[in-house]
Amino acid sequence: MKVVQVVIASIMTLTLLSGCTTTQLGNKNASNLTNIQELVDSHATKKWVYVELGQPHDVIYDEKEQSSSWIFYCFTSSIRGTAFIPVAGIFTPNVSIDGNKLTIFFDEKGKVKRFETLPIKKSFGIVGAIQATWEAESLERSKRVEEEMIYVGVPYDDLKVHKYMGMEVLTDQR
Amino acid sequence: MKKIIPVFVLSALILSGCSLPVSKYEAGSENVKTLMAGSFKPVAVGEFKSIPETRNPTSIFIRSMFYTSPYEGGFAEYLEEALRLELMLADKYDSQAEVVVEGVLLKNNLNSVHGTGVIEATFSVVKNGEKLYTRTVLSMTYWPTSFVGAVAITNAGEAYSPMVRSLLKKLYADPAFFKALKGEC
Repeated sequence: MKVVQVVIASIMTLTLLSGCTTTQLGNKNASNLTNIQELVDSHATKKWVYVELGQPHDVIYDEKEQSSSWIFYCFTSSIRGTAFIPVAGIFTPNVSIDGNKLTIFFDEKGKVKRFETLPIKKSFGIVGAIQATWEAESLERSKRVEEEMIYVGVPYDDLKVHKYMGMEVLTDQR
Repeated sequence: MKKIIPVFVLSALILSGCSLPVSKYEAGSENVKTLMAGSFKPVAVGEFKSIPETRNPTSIFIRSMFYTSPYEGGFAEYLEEALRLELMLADKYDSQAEVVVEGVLLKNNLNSVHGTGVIEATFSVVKNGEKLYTRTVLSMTYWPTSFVGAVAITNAGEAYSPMVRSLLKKLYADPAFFKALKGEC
């Protein structure tokens, strides 16, 4: 009797959960390419890019070229019902992400030079996500973003950086 | 079954009472452009108070989580910081200015079951102790919610900043507000 109850409960839960857990994450403005092209055309400043797109998820400085770039992620995340199966759900790739990585390049004066988008499509398990987050901690992303926000003179949100920690590892974009 | 119930009770006890800050305010480019276009000198932002009641809780309960303000004080301070940030980005902020914008938060809530949120606040513009402008503005927001707690909690937290942004957009749409920012009645 117990086995029957458990089986029925599991089937009901999986039916309810499968395909119903899609979430829009990251920066929605980062997918509006017309708006981003306008930033390039007007050679917008870093402060104005902050106004239009918000705080970046990462900041990269190229000392050789004396240039910098801001990285934004915009993606939808779906969790398959199998993620909720005890033990097995942890190891199987049941979390899918589908979206874009936007990089805005600035010249040495801090004006927008160009942009680039890379599609992101990947599936991974919960263990993979935890590993990626762990690995990403060592990349000191939050420190870089904080220093850049202070430099630009705008507020820094630590929570926003940590929310997408691990994205660069999961998408092999380190 | 007898074994499962204590596990549920324990899980509920562990999970309930957890608090998480909503995302910090993200300025709206439209709002900043509207402020930039205004022909007023930089203004200051004064005190923002909150009148606690059932539709204006100090922390917002979403499923088993409490959402709190990421700014010290509470959600009135969130609104204060939001206004200050947009004025600052528009180069219209001066902490020493004679014209000061103040506010009182009246309603502030999110409902993850229906995916709705409401915020209401009274804004005042004061110059040398004289009140030049007072108006109560209300804004409602809608977002796609889910029966899965993790998704519903995340979506609700993400919806807060846009809700505040739309409230400020409504305020900026009032020509009388801009007139008062110039120091005129």
